[in-house]
Amino acid sequence: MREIQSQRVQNAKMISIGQLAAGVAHELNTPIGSVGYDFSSLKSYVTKTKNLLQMCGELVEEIDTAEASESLNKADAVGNRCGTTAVEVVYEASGNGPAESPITCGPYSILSSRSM
Amino acid sequence: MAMRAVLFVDDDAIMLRSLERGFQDEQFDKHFAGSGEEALEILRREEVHVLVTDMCMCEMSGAELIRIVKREYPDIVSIMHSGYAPTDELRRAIHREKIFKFVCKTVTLEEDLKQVVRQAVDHYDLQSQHEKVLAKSEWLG
Repeated sequence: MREIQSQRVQNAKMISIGQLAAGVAHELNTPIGSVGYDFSSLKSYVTKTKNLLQMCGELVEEIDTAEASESLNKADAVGNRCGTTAVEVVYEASGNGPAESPITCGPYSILSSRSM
Repeated sequence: MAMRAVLFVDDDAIMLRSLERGFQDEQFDKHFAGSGEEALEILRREEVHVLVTDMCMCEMSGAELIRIVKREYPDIVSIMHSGYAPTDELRRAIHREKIFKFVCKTVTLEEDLKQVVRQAVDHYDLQSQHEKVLAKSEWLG
């Protein structure tokens, strides 16, 4: 009789320990799961960012730097010509005659040529 | 085919946010609820095809929510997402409520959870196609 009672107590203890362990496991599994999912999302963000950077690199490589530089020089020359013509027209109109020194484009250039 | 919608339910705000981040690129509409009551409210105004619910929640348990959903929206495919290991009682609940899958929270997102949710969406599609074929065959006599 005493043995049966002792076994019952033992069983009740085991059940309590089991329930406690399940509760602890649940409390741990939820944050562990959450961290695991976030790491997975982070991994996917990193892969996406890496792919985007790679695409940017490929686009930069596609730009022909020599061609771009030549186009910029041409654009600069055209700009200068326009500026010079415009200033010469202004001088002619004001009756000051042609500019004394070569005039280059830009407000600073015009000022310096006037002061000369 | 109309866009499918999945409803995620978890009373743990951090887990819910992790699910939101994890599933943001998936090709279906996503809804998120912090409790069973909130989930039922969403179900009243939105069309949902798959339900992913936590089992152990404060006010209404996941099993209780699935029971209500099965009764009111029998076509919805349910997935149980839990931090507990499946016990005998839970296994019985899975069979009784015809839960599509039980997924432990310690699984991986890419290889396990996302696959299970995609399978559930496919299962919903198959189920609705099957019903359409059945209805057509009954109509034809």
